[in-house]
Amino acid sequence: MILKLIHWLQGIVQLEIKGFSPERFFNLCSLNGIEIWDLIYENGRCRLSMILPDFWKIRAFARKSGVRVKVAGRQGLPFFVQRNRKRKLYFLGTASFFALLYGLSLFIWDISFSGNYRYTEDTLGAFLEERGIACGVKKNQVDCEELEAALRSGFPEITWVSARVSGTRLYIQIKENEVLSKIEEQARQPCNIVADFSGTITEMIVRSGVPMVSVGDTVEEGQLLVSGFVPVTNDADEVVKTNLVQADADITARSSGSYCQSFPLLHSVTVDTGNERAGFFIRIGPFLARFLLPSREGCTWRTSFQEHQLSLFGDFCLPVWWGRIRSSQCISYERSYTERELEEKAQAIHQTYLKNLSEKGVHIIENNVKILKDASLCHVEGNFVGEGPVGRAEAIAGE
Amino acid sequence: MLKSSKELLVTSLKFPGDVLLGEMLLSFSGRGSLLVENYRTIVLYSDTLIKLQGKNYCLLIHGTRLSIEYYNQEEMKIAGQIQSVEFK
Repeated sequence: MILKLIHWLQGIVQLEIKGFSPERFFNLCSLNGIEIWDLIYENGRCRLSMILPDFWKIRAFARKSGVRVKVAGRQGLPFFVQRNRKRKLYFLGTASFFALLYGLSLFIWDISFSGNYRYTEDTLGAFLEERGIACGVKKNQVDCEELEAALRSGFPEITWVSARVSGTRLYIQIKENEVLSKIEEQARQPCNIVADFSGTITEMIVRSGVPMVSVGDTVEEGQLLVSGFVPVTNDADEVVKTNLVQADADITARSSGSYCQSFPLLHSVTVDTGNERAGFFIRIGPFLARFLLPSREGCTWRTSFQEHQLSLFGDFCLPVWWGRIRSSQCISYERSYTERELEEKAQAIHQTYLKNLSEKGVHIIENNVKILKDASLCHVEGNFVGEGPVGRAEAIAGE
Repeated sequence: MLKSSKELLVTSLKFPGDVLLGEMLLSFSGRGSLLVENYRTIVLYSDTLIKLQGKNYCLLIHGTRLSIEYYNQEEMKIAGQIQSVEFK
């Protein structure tokens, strides 16, 4: 393919040869490095092809071998230019096209991110835009090393960045830290542990501090569970000194709770009517042209775009985007939930509540949900019995 | 005697014959295409017979609608309906 293109650029001449010794002519051409292809024998004549620069060299060989050479066909750029030499605007247009391509190749027209999981492309794109790097920026204004350093310092979870420009595309490859970059240090100041909800203690392991309650006790919210004051006594059981420690314990309590959540019986529903409109759009730089059939006033349409960027030779992206538009008509109206929908929605609310409790480490032992309706609202009342960790650290006053 | 001893040496040492003895290499793709390497000159060309000169012998390719797709000093690609190949 490339060889054919080179031949076309140099100009191809098709010749007909007839005479005393065409074989000698072929051998002379071969010895002098003249390339010949598509050699066909037809009715006592040989047809062959060669490039235009070689054609000027064969006169002596034709004379030596006693053959007559006739030009049967001409193809390629030199002949094309010769034929169209008077069409100045044609050449001007072609030259302008290549000048425009060259001009566009001096800018960045696409930024491609890879390897990012925690940071979205929008976040990274906004960060680059703050530093003046976006689609349309000049390639020589992009300092890849500086950009890599900025990304590393701007996003501490990014451990490795590679930025490179290929064609008109800026590639940014990222590796993020897969483990936590820092472990939060716990405060080592003296504190008590107090109950953060009411319940009955079912399990208690105290590592540091003095337990103030025991298993089976019922505690109220805010009640002291483990004290950070550790008394030091002498042989007569007299307190001689009080040490302040950071109370530390694993305490589990059984508790019951309830919640109530309401939502309106009427809700908005959007459905497609089945009417669709299709069109396409083209965007050149900031200019957008949409080709879509007009719609009647008062209709609501849900529109989606499928965007593609025009690119030549892989990484040679151009500031031209095009794509299809699909628009479907939809109508919205309000209706009340059916009994089944109400039950499903209520169960979903209840399950979400229980899931949140489970995420906090609460083991659900028993749960119930009730659905109550009034004129306009539906009330979901749920209650549960569960076991979970109890206690929060409370700094000792005065410390 | 000299030639046979050279051939013997090449055979026993398993050296490539095309490099040391200047033998022609023929590569067929079915009966429609033939690549000839290590030929010297074209002796005769027509659409039914192509005769090539090698270092030690001539190669005759008989067929119909024979054409030369390309050729240079080292190799030649022949297309067409090849019927037989003969060494002289």
